[in-house]
Amino acid sequence: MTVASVITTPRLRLRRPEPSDLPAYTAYYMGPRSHFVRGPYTKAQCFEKFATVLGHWQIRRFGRYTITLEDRPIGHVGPLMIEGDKAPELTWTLWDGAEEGNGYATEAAAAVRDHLLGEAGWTLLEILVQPDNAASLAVARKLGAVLTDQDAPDWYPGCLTFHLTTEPMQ
Amino acid sequence: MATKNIPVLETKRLVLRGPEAEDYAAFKATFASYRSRFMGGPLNPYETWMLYAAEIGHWNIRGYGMWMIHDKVTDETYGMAGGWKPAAWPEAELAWIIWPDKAGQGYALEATHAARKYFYNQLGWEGAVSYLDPKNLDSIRLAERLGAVKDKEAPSVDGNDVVYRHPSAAKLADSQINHGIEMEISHYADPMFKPKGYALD
Repeated sequence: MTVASVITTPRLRLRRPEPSDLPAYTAYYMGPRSHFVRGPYTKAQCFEKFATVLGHWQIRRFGRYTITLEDRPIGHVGPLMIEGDKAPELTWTLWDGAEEGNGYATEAAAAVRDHLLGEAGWTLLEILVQPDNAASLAVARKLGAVLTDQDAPDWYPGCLTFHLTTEPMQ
Repeated sequence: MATKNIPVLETKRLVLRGPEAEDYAAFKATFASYRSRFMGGPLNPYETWMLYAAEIGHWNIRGYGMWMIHDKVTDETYGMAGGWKPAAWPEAELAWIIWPDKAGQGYALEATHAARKYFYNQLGWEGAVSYLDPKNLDSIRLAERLGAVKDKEAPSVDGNDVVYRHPSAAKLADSQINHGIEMEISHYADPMFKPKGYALD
């Protein structure tokens, strides 16, 4: 089955990214919160990264969603597959620290997990998290992700790799 | 903007369409090769895929971008041409890249001429520039054949590139430059035409 372009949760609406998300996206990647994802980046790099996010949907027919709260973009969540021979990676980020602590990242990521491993029929999602990113490690745990001993990819040195599968949790 | 909504341009020999997933292989090969040295390459597979996705996403953000150049008859791809303006670019650029084994047929000239005409006539651009590596003689020669001249006053992207300014829409319309370009393109399209020198791009 094809991947949905909109997913709704009790509090959030996940939709395909739109050009109007660029300012909030750029503010996050230029700010200190992006240090877990090899940031901060320049404005020029943010533009190219965001263009990549949009193009990803065109090429793969799936990609990252923008997380919206009452129509306001507050972060992104969803699968990325940059290299076609690797498992898709489930990613999530809240763009502004003020939104943390409300369970939005977990709610969004769980909804995407349920859709991809459920209706869409996918079997494996990878999750890459830096070991000192406590907030994201907590989300990965709540999602039921299992830590593996897989090596970090060249582009993201030092990260831990988790797997999410359709297998029931032990 | 979905890629299917990107306008299609037709020229004598070529069709310019939005970049699609199935056109990726030649792009990847080109950006893995020495050919891409003036465009930030060579790139590894991860970087190349990111750039290709960005080529498509640029259309969504700006409403214009780079077309994939196809042969009108065989549909084979020859390269890309169009408009490019990431955040670091001072002005909108007319850009082109031709796959290494397709150079020398005038495809970049024909495609970029059509793209410029579209931006001027349909999108109302008053002018455009090309940011070129000063060592990229093929592209500098092409910019000159398109009537562009070096603009030493204009800001460059990062100081390592030279700015070539294209003739404005008003200056290009019905000009001798325009007629010259169309004559050169028609010569390439003519199987009996024997160029005097070797066309670099």
